[in-house]
This record gives sequence, structure tokens and C-alpha cells, in this order.
Amino acid sequence: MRCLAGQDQWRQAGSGALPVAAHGVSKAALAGTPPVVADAARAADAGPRPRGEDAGLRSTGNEAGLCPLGNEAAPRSLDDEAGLRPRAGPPDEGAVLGWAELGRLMPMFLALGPAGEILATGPTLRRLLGEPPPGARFEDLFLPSRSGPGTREGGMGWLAEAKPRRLELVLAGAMPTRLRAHAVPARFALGPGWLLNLGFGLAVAEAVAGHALTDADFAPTDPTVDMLYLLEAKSAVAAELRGLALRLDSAHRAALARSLADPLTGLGNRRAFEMAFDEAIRRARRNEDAFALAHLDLDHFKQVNDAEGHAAGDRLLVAVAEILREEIRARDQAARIGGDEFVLLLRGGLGPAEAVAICERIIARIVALGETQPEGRRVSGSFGIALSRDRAPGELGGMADAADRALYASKAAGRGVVTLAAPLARDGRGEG
Amino acid sequence: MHGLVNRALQCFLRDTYPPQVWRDLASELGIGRDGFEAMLDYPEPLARRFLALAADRLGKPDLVLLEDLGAYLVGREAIRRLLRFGGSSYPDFLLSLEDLPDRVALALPELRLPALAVRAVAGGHYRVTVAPAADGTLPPELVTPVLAGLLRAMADDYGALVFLDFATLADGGAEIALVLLEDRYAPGRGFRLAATVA
Repeated sequence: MRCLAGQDQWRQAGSGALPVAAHGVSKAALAGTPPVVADAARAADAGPRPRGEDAGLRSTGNEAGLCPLGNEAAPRSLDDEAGLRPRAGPPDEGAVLGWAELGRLMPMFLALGPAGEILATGPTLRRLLGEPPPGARFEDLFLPSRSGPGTREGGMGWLAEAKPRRLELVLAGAMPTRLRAHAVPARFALGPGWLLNLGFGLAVAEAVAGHALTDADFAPTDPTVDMLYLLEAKSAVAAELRGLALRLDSAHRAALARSLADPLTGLGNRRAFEMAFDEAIRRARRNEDAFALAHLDLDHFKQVNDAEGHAAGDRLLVAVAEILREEIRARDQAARIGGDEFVLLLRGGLGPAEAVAICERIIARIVALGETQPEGRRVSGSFGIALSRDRAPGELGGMADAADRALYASKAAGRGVVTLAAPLARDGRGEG
Repeated sequence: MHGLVNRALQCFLRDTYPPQVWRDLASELGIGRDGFEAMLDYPEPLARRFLALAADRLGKPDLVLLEDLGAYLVGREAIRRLLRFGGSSYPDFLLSLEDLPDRVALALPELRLPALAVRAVAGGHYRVTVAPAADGTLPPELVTPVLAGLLRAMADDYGALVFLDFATLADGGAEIALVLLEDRYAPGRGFRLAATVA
């Protein structure tokens, strides 16, 4: 934008008579066309903002917008405001651009006079602001956002500093849209002032929805519409990926559950038991929970299986599993770890009498199933129990063996019996 | 091939035909009832077999099935919206088709469409050229009929009246010839940039 004045010129412009357009078409347009002068006079009187048929822009004096820089402007230094004007070549004659053209190029532009009075606005910005009331000033319509330099609270100090800057703003009014602005000092036909280009930054989706903007409201070079497209496309992709993650997670959980379940009885399998046992040991070591490990082996099961077939054996195992499920408490866990071998993990720090009572109830119910082997002996169960409270923390891993030995003691004692492993002295001696 | 292709066909079948159609095809393909995952890749022969089985089962030529799929995609609001970002009128939308592969790549870098070229010929005639398959792009013979169905359905969406036909080209690409009979034949459906209004 070669039409933008540098700091030095702006100061010069602000300090005295307007050094507008000393030559060329702009001279004729600006100095020689009465309507422009009239318009300028109206604006200076804080009269109505320039209006016109072209989307609210002034209809007369198309060159009332940005004006060329006169040759009389002070020599420019090459090191300020990089990019705002060419660094070499013929004298900079700037550009003559009407508000309407400027509005097409920058639909969110805002032209301010030196004290922040609103001179003109781009068509899209007008959709946000509505028609600014006559004499409206920048600080009436915008609030500073964050602690950014800006408006009411921060004052309008930046207006005096005459250097380009970035402003973070919030639209005053019913819909507090966040806006980002780039403000540069400028010289208009009306005199010196500021040219601001506004944008939505990250609040774009909200702003577009709230103000019902369409793609016609954005300049063709503005990536806003592409950004909205991308936002929507990526949201759709993210939703699909989230769905995939959920489906994979539930498949993973189902696979894990299957890998820990005994397919016949639905109880935990040996792996499930080992995991639960390890966890129970960890908790017992941390003194969070004492537990009992009860090992059950069915008596005379093999004969039933051999004589009546696997289907009968399986039915019996399912019936026993059902009894275990009903007799243990919610916090306990039952697993089938072999053909007719089950283990119970009884949690909650129960005492030996309680553990034995549970096991005896189970034996009674197994007997009550009424299953007999060919020689007429009732199918029953033998239990061996080990309690974590009977052992030192370092000896808890031996509970499985202890329960197993107690189980064999039950078998030796004539089956249908519950045997409690003898307490292991807390000093680690005297296994029972 | 990108799972989205299989997934699209699966959703089309599931939403359009009796449930038994998809169930039979799924079991014949040896894929679970849940079918294809849009975000995973599948071998291309599987996609082609799926298409052949579906066309056979429905007693339709492949091309017709793919064209119906294109129209179905426009019926999905999310996809319709993404397409409408292409332009505010149907001619704009047509001209924006050249951007379509890039737009798709913005959303899904792994889904590569063949290059598209759009030429406006005199008197509302347009030619959309689908480039021959390049490494990793979806094959033109699958893309073109879907695109044709999509262009037809988008014409309805914009309220335009079009006539179109497509053919494969000697170089392995394809071409869609489209006549825009009327730009604003019917009111068309609305489109707002923002999906929800605050």
C-alpha cells in the first residue's frame, strides 16, 4: 500500500496545513472538486458519516479516500515501517483510492480521524457495527480486550504515537465479538488519520455465526472461508477418529474380559486369578486390606465325568460356579483355575471363622446338588484356606502353596472338609 | 485404499436398502457386522470386490451404483456443507472443483483424489476432466461416476438445472460433460458459513 504515509509525514501532516496531493489526478480530484471539500467540512463538523449508494460509502468524490503523498513530503528514511512503501525508485506518488474500492479490498477496514472519529467503514465491518451514529468515535464502538493498548481504559494513546500497531479489541454492544486490528497511520483527503484493518482471529467461527456472515463478506484473498471449511472438515474427521477410538477401546475391553474369563463357567480363569491375587498381595502389604485365599477341589468329580460324560461334568461345574457366585460377597472373586479346581479371593479382612463359614456353606450346597458318582458317593468339595493376616508381608506369596497344602490335608481327612493353614509366625518361621 | 471409500459404500447400502443387503454382503466379504472403519486402510481388491458384489446383489451396473453413491453423499449434511464451501453459486462451485482434491487433502491427507480440471466452454457447457491415476490416487474409473452423481445432486442443492454425461478417455482419465441449462431453476437449499447460529 504505497498510499500510506510514514510517521514523519504523518507528523508533518498533523502539524499544519494538509500537504495533500500536489500533483496529478489527485490534485484535481481533491483540491478542485467542491463535493469533496464539502464532505470534508461535514466530517470536520462531526456531521453524518459519509454515505452513498455503494454500500454506505460516500458517493461523491471517490478520491476522498486515501490520497497520494505529495512530493513536498519530507524525505523518507528507509528504515522505518518496513514494507509500507517502496524503498527505492521514482518518487512515491501513492495511490488514489475511494472508500468503496478500499471496502472491496479490505471489507473490514476502519478509517479514523486523528482523534479517533470514525470517517468510514468497510461493508463487512458495517454488518457488525451497524451504521455508526453521527460523530461516533472509535472508543464508543470498541473496547480493549485483555490488557492490550487501545481504547477506553487504556486511553487512545496509540493514536498519538503514530506507528503501526496491533490492537486486540472487543466490539461494544449486544454481541461482544473479539476482533484483532492492525492500525497504521494514514493520510486521507480529509486529513491525517488512521487506517485499521480488522479481522476475527481465533473467534472467527463464533463471529461468522453470530453476525450471519457469508463468503461475500470476505475478500477473495482472505483465508477465513477456507479456515471455516477446514474447521468443519477437521471436526468431522476428529469425530470419526473419536468413534474409532471408542470402538477399539470397547473391543479391547471385550477381548481383555474374554482373555480373563473361563468360557465354561463365566468365572475368572487362572490369569484373572493371578492378577487379582497379585493385587490383593500388594494391598495387604500396604495394610489396605487383609484377605483370605480359599482353594476348592471337587470330590469324586472325575468319576462323574468318566461315567456320565463331559456334558454331565460340565453341567456340574457350571452349577458349582453358580453356587460360588451366590455365596461370595460382592467384593470377593471366584476363579476356575483347572478342571475341577476353583479359588476364592475373600477380601475385607475377614477372620478365620468367617472364611470357614463361607466355605462350609459352599460345601453344603455342592452336596445338596445331589450328584453321585457310580459307586453312590456324593459329589462334594474340599477346601484349604490361607489368611494374609497370618503371614508376614514378605511371606504373602506363599499363600497359594499354603492353601494348596491345606486342601490336601482336607482331602486326606476324608473330603468334604475345610482346613485352615496354620498361621505362619510373623517372624517367618513355623509354616503350618 | 482409504477406508472412507468402503465406509461410504457401506453407509449408502445400509441407509438405502433393506438391512439384509448389507448383512449378506458383510458375511460374503468376511467382515464383521460393523463393517469398514473410515479411518483405516483396506486393500484395493477388497474395495473392488465389495463394489462388484454390491452391484451384483442389487442388479445394477457398477457405474449406476457409484453415481447413486455420489448423490447419497450430497444427502449427508456434513458433506453437503463441505461441498458448499466451494462457491456461492453452482457455476462457482463447478469452477472450484479444481480445488477439490486439495480441499480433501486438507481434511484427510491420506485420501488422494485424481487431479480435476474444469473448463467452461461456450453457452453454459462445462468439461470436467479427471486425470489418469497417479501413484496413490483413487482410480478415475471409480471417482468419475461418484463425482457425476455428486454434481447432479449439488445442482439440485443450488437449485440449478443441469444435464451431464461422462466417459472414460484414452489416456486412462475420464471426462464429465455438463450443460448448465439454468443457473437458478429452483430456490435450492440454504447454506450458511457457520454450521450453527449462536
